[in-house]
Amino acid sequence: MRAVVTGWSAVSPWGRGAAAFADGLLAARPAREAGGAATVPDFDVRELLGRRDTNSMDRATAYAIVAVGDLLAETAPARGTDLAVVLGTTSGSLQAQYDMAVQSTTRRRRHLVDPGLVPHAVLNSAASRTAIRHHLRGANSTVAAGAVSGLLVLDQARRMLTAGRADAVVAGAAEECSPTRRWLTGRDDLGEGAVALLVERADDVPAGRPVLAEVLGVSSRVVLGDAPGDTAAALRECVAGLLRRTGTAADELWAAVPLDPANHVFAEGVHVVGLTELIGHGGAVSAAFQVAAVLALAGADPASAGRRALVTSADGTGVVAAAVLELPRSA
Amino acid sequence: MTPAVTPTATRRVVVTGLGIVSSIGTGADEFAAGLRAGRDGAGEITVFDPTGFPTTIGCDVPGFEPRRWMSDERAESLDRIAQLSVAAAVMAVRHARADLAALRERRGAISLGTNGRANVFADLCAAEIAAGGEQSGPPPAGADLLPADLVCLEVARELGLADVETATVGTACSAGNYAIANAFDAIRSGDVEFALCGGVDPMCVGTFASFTRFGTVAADACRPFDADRTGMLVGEGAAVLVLEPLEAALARGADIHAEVLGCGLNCDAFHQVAPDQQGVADCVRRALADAGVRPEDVDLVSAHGTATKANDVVEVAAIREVFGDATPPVISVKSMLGHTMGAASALAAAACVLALEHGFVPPTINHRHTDPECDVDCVPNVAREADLRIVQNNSLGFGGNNAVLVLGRYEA
Repeated sequence: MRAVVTGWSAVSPWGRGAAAFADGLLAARPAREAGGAATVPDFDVRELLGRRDTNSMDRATAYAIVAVGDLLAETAPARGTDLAVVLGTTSGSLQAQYDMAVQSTTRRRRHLVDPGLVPHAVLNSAASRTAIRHHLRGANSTVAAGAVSGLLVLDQARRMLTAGRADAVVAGAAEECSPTRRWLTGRDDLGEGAVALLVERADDVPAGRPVLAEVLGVSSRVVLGDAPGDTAAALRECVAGLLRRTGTAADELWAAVPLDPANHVFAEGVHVVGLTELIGHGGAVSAAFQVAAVLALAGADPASAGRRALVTSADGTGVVAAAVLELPRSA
Repeated sequence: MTPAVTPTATRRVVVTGLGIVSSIGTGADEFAAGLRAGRDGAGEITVFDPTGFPTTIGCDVPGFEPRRWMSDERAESLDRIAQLSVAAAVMAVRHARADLAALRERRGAISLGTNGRANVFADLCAAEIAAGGEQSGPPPAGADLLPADLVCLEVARELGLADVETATVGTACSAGNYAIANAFDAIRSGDVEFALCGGVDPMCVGTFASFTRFGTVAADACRPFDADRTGMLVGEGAAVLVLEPLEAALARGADIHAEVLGCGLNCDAFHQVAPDQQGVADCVRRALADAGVRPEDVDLVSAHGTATKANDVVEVAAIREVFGDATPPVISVKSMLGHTMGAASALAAAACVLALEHGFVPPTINHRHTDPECDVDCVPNVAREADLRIVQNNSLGFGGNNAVLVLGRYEA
């Protein structure tokens, strides 16, 4: 079974939609405030999703709903398609959890928290709300893997398709830029948004729908030590194993999109792209942004035809991951 | 030594080890004895101060002693959720008599369901909230403990497993089954050669407040399917199953406790909190089709069975919709264990494994009068000897995330 990406959408600090993401990336336009965070511009949740249910909705959930909605509008899966959803997160909405903690600490009757807040304080808020909004009754999973989430969800999508759990999978991730996330991470350079990818079996792609990339493989590895260099060593081992397993020679690599270009582990001469400088540290959505970057760049670069891209990431909790995508021979 | 690899589509997946921390027993043997005796795990909550809540009882594990399963140093460095997952994983590997050195040489998966780090969150923020909540200072000590995937990563570190996929599944109260389903697919497809899978959640004030807010916490006892049921009790615990391909288990002479036959995953896409009959019935049908069994082949249903008014009526209606007159006994182990959230369906799956292996049906305790709207044989109060071949384990999560697992007695 070969798994392929046939559509994508994003809500990012470059704005709403795949085109806004691609434009921002190709122009290398910084979307961060000087020395600060990169937030999604012009995103009015009530205007986009209505007043109902949106009062206490966390930002990541709203971004996921919009990104998946845009993906479905663009790809228009046939009626009756059994569509699964797999979304990545780090810890769910830290802001919603904080707001609940405030309420259950400061209110005299401690359990009288805002009931609208509760669904947003659980890990599966984005995935389950997305399913409800878009009537997606297939398998619906949430994978908490922090920065590497965007790669693990691709692997989960491939696995679900192999196991016959769905006809197609919406895989992605979402992240919020909130006061609580800034406080708890101690970082000023945060980014946010959501990415949704449509993943299908290569044999099932309807005529006329272009294949944007094939998912040749995903691998992850745990960093057991905490000495300096352990993460980089684990990532090198992870990448080496993945390149071997997918039969990828160094000269087949057209591009590499690492989380942090300063620690890249690739052959010389590969086109290396970094996103954090432009759109901040995306947390749970960072690796999904990296995958989106591969698709956006390949769409604009004929030299990508038939070649491969490597996406790598590492999370501070001690996990590294990599994916190899193959770009189509002709657009 | 290495067995010939069979085509992945036909690869069978078996359970070769169980690690359990629960309010009715620790370890497979004690847990099995607790299930057979119909032990009630409920008591006055001790793991946090429940003052101010209408219900102050729950199914916590006050006697949990992490040092039995890890070094003093490790026990001190981990918080309760990681202690629970590490203890259950270590126990499961020992129960499986698995050779750690051999596991380290093979690609594996650690796949655990959880509701995340809600247990540390309130404590972490307490000082900030008391100080007015400006959130302008440096991160509080322990903020690095918040990422949910630490429940899997600490297991990997404890066991020295680097070449593993760590999949922390956050599908609310069906997370345990989802995590086991992911491990099952990973082995069946040939992605990995073994998996440690299940679920974990400690009791904490945040989740307790949420369940209380929704009016789902029982006044006195958890009575699934009872006319007088008033809701769930909140519990805690962990269950880890060791899964292996059948050939690998046979090659090393492992005890095979049960076989994973299939699973169904879906989403109601209906309501954030209320379950949906159509969604649950569809999930059961998916699971039976995946396992290749007919409804009449199922000998027992381990229900989600939270004992809330809404859950039990909707779940039983969904079961009846699929099984009709052939509905087998439908039990709820939550009557004994409380609702352990991310651990719930994993503990229930472990109970199914033990029921299949030892030939008994765990009872639904605290039962007085069956609600006519939940008219099933719930095996009230007393366990029953039974020759079980195929058992189904339901789970329904917040957000409409359903996962149903089908387990079978191992037959060569």
